[in-house]
Amino acid sequence: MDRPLLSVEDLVVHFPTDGGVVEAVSGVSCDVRRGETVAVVGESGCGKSVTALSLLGLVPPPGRVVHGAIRLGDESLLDATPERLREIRGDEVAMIFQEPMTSLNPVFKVGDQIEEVLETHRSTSGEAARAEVIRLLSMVGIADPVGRIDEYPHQLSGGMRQRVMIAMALACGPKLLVADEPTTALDVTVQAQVLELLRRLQRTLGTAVLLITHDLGVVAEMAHRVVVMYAGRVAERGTAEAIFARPRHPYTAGLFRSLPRLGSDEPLRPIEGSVPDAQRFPPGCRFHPRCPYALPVCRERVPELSPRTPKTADDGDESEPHVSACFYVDEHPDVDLFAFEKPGAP
Amino acid sequence: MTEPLLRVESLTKHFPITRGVLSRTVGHVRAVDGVSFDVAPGETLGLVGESGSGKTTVGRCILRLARPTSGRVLFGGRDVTTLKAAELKGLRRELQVVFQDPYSSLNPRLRVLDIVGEALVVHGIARGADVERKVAALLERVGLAPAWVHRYAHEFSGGQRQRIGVARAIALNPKLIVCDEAVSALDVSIQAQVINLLVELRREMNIAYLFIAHDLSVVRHVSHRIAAMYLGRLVEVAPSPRLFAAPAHPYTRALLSAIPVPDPRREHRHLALTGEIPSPANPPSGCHFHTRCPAVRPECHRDDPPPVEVEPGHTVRCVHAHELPAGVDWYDELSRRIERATLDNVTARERAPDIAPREIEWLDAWKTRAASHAADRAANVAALRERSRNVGVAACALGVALVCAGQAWLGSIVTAVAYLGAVRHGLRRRSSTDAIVVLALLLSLRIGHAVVEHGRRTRAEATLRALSEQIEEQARLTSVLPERLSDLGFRLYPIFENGIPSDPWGRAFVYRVPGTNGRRFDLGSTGPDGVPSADDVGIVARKPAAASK
Repeated sequence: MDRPLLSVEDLVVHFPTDGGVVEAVSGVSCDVRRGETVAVVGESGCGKSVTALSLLGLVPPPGRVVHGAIRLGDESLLDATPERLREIRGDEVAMIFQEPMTSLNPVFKVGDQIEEVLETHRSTSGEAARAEVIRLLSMVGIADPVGRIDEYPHQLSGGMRQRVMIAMALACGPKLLVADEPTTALDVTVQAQVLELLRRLQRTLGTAVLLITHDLGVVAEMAHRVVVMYAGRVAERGTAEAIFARPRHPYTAGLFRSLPRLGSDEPLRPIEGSVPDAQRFPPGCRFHPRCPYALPVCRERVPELSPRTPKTADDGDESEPHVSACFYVDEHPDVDLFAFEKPGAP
Repeated sequence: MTEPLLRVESLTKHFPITRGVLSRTVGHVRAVDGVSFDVAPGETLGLVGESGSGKTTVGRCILRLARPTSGRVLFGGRDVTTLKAAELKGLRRELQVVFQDPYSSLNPRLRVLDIVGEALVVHGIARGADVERKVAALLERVGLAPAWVHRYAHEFSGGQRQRIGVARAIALNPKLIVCDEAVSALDVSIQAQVINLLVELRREMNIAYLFIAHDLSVVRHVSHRIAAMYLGRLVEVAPSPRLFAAPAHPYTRALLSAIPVPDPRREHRHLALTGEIPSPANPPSGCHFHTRCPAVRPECHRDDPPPVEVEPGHTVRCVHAHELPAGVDWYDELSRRIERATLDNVTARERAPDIAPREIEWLDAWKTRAASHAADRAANVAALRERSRNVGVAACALGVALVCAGQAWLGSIVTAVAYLGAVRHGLRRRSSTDAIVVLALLLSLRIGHAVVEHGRRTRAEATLRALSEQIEEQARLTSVLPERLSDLGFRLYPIFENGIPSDPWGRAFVYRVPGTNGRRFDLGSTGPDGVPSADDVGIVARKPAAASK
């Protein structure tokens, strides 16, 4: 198997605060291969955005990557100089954020903002750059790109702005696109359009996508592989099919149970409680206070990510083992986590 | 049928768009444009639509947080829109609201006791220690610890704050709660907890909800009936399972197909709904949805069809839904019609040669623009060249005139600059020729200058010779050869006194002062020794007649 495009190993990010060091990300590992979509899922405060930001050295101060390795191809991004990181950003790795209005500069025309990317990384300018911007805008499905090129961000609607952001991100044909909640601020019909656009662009351009989201529906539509994060740690990792069909971590199963499903009238069975404050993460497995399956050992020791044997042949891909970190599943490998009741409990 | 708890009749709300210092009204945002529906006691009506469809404004009009432009809102038989301030207080007791943002809807300076208890005190339900007891009970009811009554809002997480918001809403035992995106801002697991809480409360207290949200799967879960809104109008109202089983309006169909389903095995097939919701300040004519409708028919641009009831409790506002066969197969017929219209539109678009694909369209538009831009530029450049040529020629002429007037260097520079300026704007293009032309011009100017100078010198020498002859003639007559002009009895000062320098024979002189290179004369200086030398004598310019005066 060839080397992954992006590999993150045992990433630890600390935020020193007045109340002590907050470990926002504790030992996260994941790979992104060429042309695939990897989704990082979790609730707010689980560290998924910090993970994405640390890829490009954008962790907001005083936050700091204290341990781990991030490699893009053969290059270590943690050892890269600020100049080299600036070269990589927008060129080999591009990023789109949740709120397109705050990520676009309100005082410049959108065409000029995309041109700037081309000028910085490709030294293209003038008529050639303008023609390229028009091509990019029409590629992301903006009607009348010639007219839109001279408009300011506030003149565009939310969906249009997100398309401009995508056009800007794809300007240099990046190998990896990091999309942090790209459709959360959009209406469902516009979200469908933007997701369709991302899928189409990925198919035609072969860009790998690291998708940060909390919406499991979006994950199901987009992702080849999924990383479920909880309180700064990876709870479960595997192919989308395997995780959606047979979650091997009580948190993942709890997320699914919290979703109102179309065509089902059953009452929701959400996870109790809420995500713990990052300053007061519980010891042991960080999910144990909310976990219906918690064992005594969960309070003391941190579970390792262990491989789960797929039950049927099509559940797992050999190259990507389905792993999860749970003592209960270690002991009861065949438990149906959807069922909610502990088998064998009195 | 039981009397509805809430009846909304052709509700409209227009917001004026004002402009200028005088706030002139230049138009209206038609946020709500004739909406009618009922909510029965204990029922939940879901109101869905994209942002900008007016669903929040409907909620605000019902709560009288906004005054409707027209239409009636009957709550328990009373018209909310005409209630006086005192009567509103009674209304508020029965009609409550939970807002979307649990951060901005709780006053950060108040304790939970005050936030939740305020309504109890205002409405005279509880007093003193009783308030705390009641608030504690309410907190317990919404799943918070009763001991937290003295905490402030910032001490709670988002989900807990939303529970406080719910506690505040149920404090007065209301009959209807408007939930405006009440769970949209919450995380999935917390959202599910709050939804379950709302559903439990409905069962216990027989509360009716107007559940405004954009997340269809959440709305589906809590609502008995769902109303879909588009640009201020209700396009479809149906019992919740029916809306999902048999969505009749093309907009509802598209909306449902756009929901991402959390199942990676399901093939994602979204209905093509292009573009975004138009501005309610300038809604499309006819059916508001026709600009985005895949099954649009020509009459949709013109007519806005009235809502039809396709089955009991299921109304649709679409031209396709008219004159459907009664009975169970209405939905098959409707789907067939919509699919046929969609297919017709697609084939019409493919067949029509005048409708090019979007790529070609923008390319053509761009080419046209670029061409017209280039033509404009060419015309501009031509006009500019014309003008600069005229200016350049005029300036060259001025320069030559200056040279002729004796200002050789200034004239040369003016001519050269004028010529170069004209060249810069396109008389000629090649700079090598420019250089040659400029050199030639300067050379010819220099030669011209030398010629003029030579003539002047010749004339001056002739004058000096004539002067010497006169002097010699006078000397012959007087047999004295003077060394100086003054010895002849002429003084130079008096000569210049009239302002016109002339020699004793009435001819005007121009004296040049050595070392000043071109200055004509200076009355204080008459040459090195008072004798003008050949170099000091310039052009004889004036006639003696002028001097005689």
